[in-house]
Amino acid sequence: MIRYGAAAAVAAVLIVSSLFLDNATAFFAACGAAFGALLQRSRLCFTAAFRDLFVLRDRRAAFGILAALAVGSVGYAAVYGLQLPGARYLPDTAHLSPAGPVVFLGGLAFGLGMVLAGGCISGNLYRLGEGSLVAPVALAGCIPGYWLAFSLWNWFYATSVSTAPVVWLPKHLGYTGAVALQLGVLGGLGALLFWKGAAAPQPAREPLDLKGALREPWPAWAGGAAIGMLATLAYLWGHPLGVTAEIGRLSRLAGAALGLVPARLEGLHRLPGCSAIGSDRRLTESGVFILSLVAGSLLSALLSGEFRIRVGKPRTYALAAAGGVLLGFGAMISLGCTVGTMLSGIMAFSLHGWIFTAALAGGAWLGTQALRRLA
Amino acid sequence: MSEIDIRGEPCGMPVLRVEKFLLEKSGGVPFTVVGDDAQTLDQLRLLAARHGWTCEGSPQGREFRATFAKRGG
Repeated sequence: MIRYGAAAAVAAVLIVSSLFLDNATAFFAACGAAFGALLQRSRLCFTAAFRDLFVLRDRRAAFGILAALAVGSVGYAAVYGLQLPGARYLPDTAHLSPAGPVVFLGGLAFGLGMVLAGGCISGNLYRLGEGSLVAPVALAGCIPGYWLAFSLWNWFYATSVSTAPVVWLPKHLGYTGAVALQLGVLGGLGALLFWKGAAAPQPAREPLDLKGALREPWPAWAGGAAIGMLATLAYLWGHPLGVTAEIGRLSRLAGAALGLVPARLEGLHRLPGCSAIGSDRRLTESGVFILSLVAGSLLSALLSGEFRIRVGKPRTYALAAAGGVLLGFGAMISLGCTVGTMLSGIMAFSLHGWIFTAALAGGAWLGTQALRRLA
Repeated sequence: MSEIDIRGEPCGMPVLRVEKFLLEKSGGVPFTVVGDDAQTLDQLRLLAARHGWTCEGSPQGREFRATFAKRGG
């Protein structure tokens, strides 16, 4: 009963605090809470999608990601069709960023970091809601990673980012061609998983009623499809899903105060995505989103009985800190993470999202080999 | 019977530790695993099946204890 009382308290805080927000920010708070609850309930872990595939050929989380991307791609195309008939101009609110070697390097670092840290940034945020004491270490590790990336950013920008092309598939293929190509690639990857992946053991389950839906994990593909719909809804409101903008902004403020960040970061304010740009607000919409994500995960974990304080062995914290540095570095130079660059980039039909994801897979493979050595 | 304690390990590490023990140290002899995440038990079953072993166990409160044995052994 205590957990139901705690869940009611979390829900009440979410609802009451939303009353003090403007409509757009309150909407973002609702999106964050729904996103956190969906990740927690469906155990949709972006890290597991790669790592468990390499180690166990477990395809469940990977199917979840593919479902999110497929549903979100169709949703984004519908929004584009309503708002930008003809695909002649780049949509200014979508996460379309330069496709070049820097986003590849960022994906590689991020993929390695997420396996070492035991989760990506959104994964650690939802595990924080489940009571993990390791997640805050990984998230704190992101800050020096951001500082390192900030210190190198002007060089990256001058040598690559400023000249790398922004490739938006509908501009070259039209909406129909872009949707067909993207769904074809996602379908092909799905078929490959179906063919090569391992079928997970199916535990006996009771018929699904409301109590069962709260207690039992949801299939990852269902959580992924729901996230695809949520991403479409968020984009319809002009805010593609993304979790790292506020972490980047706060890291930049702290780094500037310590003299660790260049006074000027070239071109960053013009690049879409989860850029670490300044704001005079104490809490941005991105900040509200990630706080709500943690609250949504906490609420879901309390209702399902999965909340508990989770401590790790000493090396778990060391790996989380080291992985966190790589996560922060990768997220800064890629202008986002598995959510802002992989999900929101690919759903927006941007080539940079695909490059990031390919590199992410490479980094995750390297991370898995490193963990194997440490096991 | 050997026992592997995977409680408190970073996400991903429990399966890799058990995989390493199973392939390099078990010598085909049954062993037990003590863990603290029900989802890991699900993954251990998959690992066992992948390598021709069985994994029998069930959650006991917040933890689980699973026994690995070579199929047909």
